[in-house]
Amino acid sequence: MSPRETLRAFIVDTFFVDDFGDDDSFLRKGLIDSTGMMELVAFIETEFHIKLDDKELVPENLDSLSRVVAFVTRKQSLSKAS
Amino acid sequence: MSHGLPSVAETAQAVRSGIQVVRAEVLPRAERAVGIARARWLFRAFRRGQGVAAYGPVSARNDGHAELGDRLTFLGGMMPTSVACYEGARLLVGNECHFNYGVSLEAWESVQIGARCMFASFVRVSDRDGQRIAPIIIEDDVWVAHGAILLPGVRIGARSVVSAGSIVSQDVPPDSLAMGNPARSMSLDLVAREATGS
Repeated sequence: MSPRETLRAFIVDTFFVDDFGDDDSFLRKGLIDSTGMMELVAFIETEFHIKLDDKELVPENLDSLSRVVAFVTRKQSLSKAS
Repeated sequence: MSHGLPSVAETAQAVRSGIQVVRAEVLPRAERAVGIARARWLFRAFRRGQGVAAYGPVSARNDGHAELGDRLTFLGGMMPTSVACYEGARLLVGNECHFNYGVSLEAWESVQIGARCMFASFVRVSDRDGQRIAPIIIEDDVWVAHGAILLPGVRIGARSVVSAGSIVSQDVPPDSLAMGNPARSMSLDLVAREATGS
C-alpha cells in the first residue's frame, strides 16, 4: 500500500470516519481530536520508522491527509539521504 | 384586587423572590467573604495580594519566600490542597490563578507561576523529585489539567495546555498542548478549534 492508502486506512479504522477528502482539515471537519492526533503521530513513527520532532507537530505538516502524506514522504527521503 | 391582607398567592410569590435574592446575591457573597477570611488565616505566613480566597481546606506552609498574587482562588473538594515553600526556597504565584482541590505545590528551590493560570484537581508541581532539585517556571495563561505532574526543571510556555494525567519532563513551548508520559508537545493550532493559523 502507498503511504496515502496506509494513512487513510488507519484514520478510517481508528477514528470511525469515512468519506473525507484528501485536503479536508482534520481539525475543521472534526475528524481527529487532540488524543487522536497523538495516536496518528505514534502511528506515523512506528509505521514509517521516522522520528517526529515536537516542533514538527504543526498544522502545516499534519492537518490534512495530503499534508501528512507530503510530510511523511519528505521525512522518509531525508532519513534515507542521511 | 382587594386592599386588605395579601393573598396566599401574593405571599408565596414574595417569599419565592426573597429566597431567590438570598440564593443569587447573598449566599455567594457570604461564601466569598468566608473564603477570603479563611485564606487570610491559612496563608498568614505568606506575602499575598488582595482577594485571595480559599473555599476549602488548604495545608499551607512557608519557611522561605512565598508570594501570592491578587485574586487567587483555591477551591474545596474531597482532598485538601497543599502549598509548601521550604527553607531558602522561592514560590511566586501570579494574579488570578485558580487551584482546584488536591493540588500539590511544593517549592524547594524556586517555583514561579504566571498570571491567570489554572490548575485542575490533583495536579502536582514540585521542583524536587528525590534525585534532583531544579526550578520550575510556568508562564502566563497556562492550564494544567487533572492529575498532571510537572517534574523539576521544566518551563511551561505561555498559553499552553498540559493535558490530564501527563507527566511533563521537558520544556513545553508557548501555545502548545503537552500530552502523555513523558509528555510530547504539539502546536495548539493543530488541535484547537479557535485556531487562527492555516
